[in-house]
Amino acid sequence: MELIELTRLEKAPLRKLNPVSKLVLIISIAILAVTIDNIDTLKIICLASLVVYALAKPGLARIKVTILLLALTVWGTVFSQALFYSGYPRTPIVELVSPETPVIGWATGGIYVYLEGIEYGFKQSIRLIASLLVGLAVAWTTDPKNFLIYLSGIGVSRALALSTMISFRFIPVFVSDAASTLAVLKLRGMSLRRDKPSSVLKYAKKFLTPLYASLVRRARTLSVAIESRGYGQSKHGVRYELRFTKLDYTVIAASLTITIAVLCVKLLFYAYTTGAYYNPALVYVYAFARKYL
Amino acid sequence: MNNIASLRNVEVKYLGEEKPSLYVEELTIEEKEFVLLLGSSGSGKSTLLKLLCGVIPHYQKAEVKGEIEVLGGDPRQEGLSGIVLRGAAIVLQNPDAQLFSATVESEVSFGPENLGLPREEIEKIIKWALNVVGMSGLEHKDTVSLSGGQKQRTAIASVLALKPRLLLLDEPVSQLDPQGSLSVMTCVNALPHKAGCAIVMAEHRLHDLYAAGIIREDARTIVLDKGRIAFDGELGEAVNKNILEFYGVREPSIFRVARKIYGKIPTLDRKELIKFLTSNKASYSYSDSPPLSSKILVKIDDVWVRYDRKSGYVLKGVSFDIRKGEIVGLMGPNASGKTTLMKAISGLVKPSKGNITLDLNPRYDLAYVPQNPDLYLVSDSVIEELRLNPRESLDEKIVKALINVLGLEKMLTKHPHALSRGQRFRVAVAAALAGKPKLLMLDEPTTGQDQKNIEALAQILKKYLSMQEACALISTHDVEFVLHNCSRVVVLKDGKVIASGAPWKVLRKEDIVREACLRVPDEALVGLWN
Repeated sequence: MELIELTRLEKAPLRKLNPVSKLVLIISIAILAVTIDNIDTLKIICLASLVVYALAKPGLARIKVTILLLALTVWGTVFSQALFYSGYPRTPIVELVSPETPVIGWATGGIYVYLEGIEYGFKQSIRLIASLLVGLAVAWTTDPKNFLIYLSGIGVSRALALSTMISFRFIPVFVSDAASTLAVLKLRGMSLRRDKPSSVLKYAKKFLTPLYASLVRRARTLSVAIESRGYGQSKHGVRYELRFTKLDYTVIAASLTITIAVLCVKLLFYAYTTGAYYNPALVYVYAFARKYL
Repeated sequence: MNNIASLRNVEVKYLGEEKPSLYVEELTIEEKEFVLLLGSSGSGKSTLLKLLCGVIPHYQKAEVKGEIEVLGGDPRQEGLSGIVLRGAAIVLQNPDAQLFSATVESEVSFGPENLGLPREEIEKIIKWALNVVGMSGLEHKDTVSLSGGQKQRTAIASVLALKPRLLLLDEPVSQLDPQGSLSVMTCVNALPHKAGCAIVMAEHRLHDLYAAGIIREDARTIVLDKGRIAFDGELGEAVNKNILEFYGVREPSIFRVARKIYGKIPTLDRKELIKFLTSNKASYSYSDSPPLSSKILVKIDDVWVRYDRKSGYVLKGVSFDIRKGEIVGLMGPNASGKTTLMKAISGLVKPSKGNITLDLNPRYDLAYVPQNPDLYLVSDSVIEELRLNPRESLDEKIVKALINVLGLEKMLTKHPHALSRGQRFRVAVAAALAGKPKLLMLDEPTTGQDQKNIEALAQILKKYLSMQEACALISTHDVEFVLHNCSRVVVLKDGKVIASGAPWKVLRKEDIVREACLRVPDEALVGLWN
């Protein structure tokens, strides 16, 4: 896969939004995904994220990367929850290790695949997918420099603005470096043996060490380059020219309103269910929260 | 002229190191001066540049003693951002890692935006800066689709937009092909005159600068050796006194030819020297490469590769073979398919059409070191790295020889990622060879390496290949390395082989060289190969 296909800024409707409104959108979707428990409402959030993703008009290479990331996310969360689900009730549907198996069986009381774990894993993966889709869409449609300009312009600290910019700048580089590292590991005779947990850990370390070193070095070079262009040199701040269109204001207002409203309703419902606070006038709010949130 | 930077009794010691990496008794840099900073790997060139702009000790922790003044400030106290405000700027090696904006215009405008300048003024500055680096008209181009040379010139324009008085360049052409290097160096050479700033440039590739015809005899040259200034004077004097050769600086190979014939370099003027040697070529000749072995280890037959159905083919009917004992140079511009070909040989990419036949075990006998050595180094120490190979057994004799020839003795217990780029690449090559591969593939092995290390690499490769009945495929832009060390060269362009054969025959064909963004080696121009 060519790095250029992942890094080029495509002409897409989402580019009309400025970085601040895009970040507000990401944060709102992440908060909603974490707060909401109702699976149908989560599906709607995920669908909304998919619409945002479509507005980034991703090409084939980007769709492939997205599918790979989504598959890994779903597999990872469902697999781990199916095996290690600790809630009750739980229904074992497959026995992987019998409780009578020496050592592992005795120590763990048996390892099973739980039906409720799979369901919970799906719910968690929907949460992650919603944030991931919007995050990728924003990364692919925003000039990384504008993260610095806009975040600094609205008063976000220099370090935070720089970290945000670097993290978005390195998403495509990370994908490319990871592919090269996997290729090198294969040629150096290191393969992933899923049957041995120690081998998985060893492989993960060998995979992450070069990747981490390469990214740290790139991040350092980038920071020097940014500072060498005068970023952060003024002690009293710089007035950057920020452009907020009506669309930006609409997106920010809508995202904040929905997020704050959902948080308030959830908080009231939580107070009601724990017996901390009850108001009969809010009975429709409680019913709404129970049914949809 | 005024001094814009001065150092007196300055000592820099990196944390954890016993000896100082730099010791400067006295150094001054004047306004609009062009200073060439030369020296072998680890001689202290980058340390000096980073010290002048405050990257040391702010980004790289080190103990710094002595008096330093840059544009009226002390970089130790003011840091990079403070020194930038005073009018200094630095451009680093890797152009890809330095650009972060979507378009050229957006990249160049970042500096003036940080100064809070009005839009109209910013637009004027963008025009001026792009004009100085010869990139007018490319304002709206995506930075990702620029060539390597254009990327580096964009990085230079981005700092020029702040109108610096002191521009520090840390090996700005080390990762570029010869034509990209020529475009950047032509631009850098004109900067003191066009942009009115002093330039201090550290560079290993003096041979490329010389071939570009932009190094003047009277250019101020500082040669560093083991962290100390060994020479500070004119380039002509350094060449005539053999100072560059003595301190391991990679000289243009035509200088070595002239020295062998005449015992000295008659003139530094490139055109004159070529004319002089051409008229006297009979007195010196090179021996031809030994005949090729008949045993083919790798046969590439009409190979076509594409990454997906919609995109075009990256390799289009590539055919050639690699024989036992051979070092084949793979050359061509960026995105010509060199890395894809190496991946296809390694089995990491499956050809859509055609065959790659290997007379070796693909599980044990293949080694590939990528251009970025970071991605190859997976262990916690150099010695562990050398012991890690697909065979899971080790030939101690080979490991010892590798450590010896590649100069790794003092770094065996160090973490590979704590070493310099040149050192990391040498460790990666040693680790690859320790696995006794039958086919070794290296991507840009001479980048950031000095003369001594390039010679050591060539020596160990030749020795290894003759001992192990192996072969090597080397992707590189280094025409001199290919000319002197490869038995054959294959030139790719747009996924097709446009030339193949003995380097001395292929690399003197001007049309081929131009198409592949290379340059004709000086020896070929002189006609030393006939």
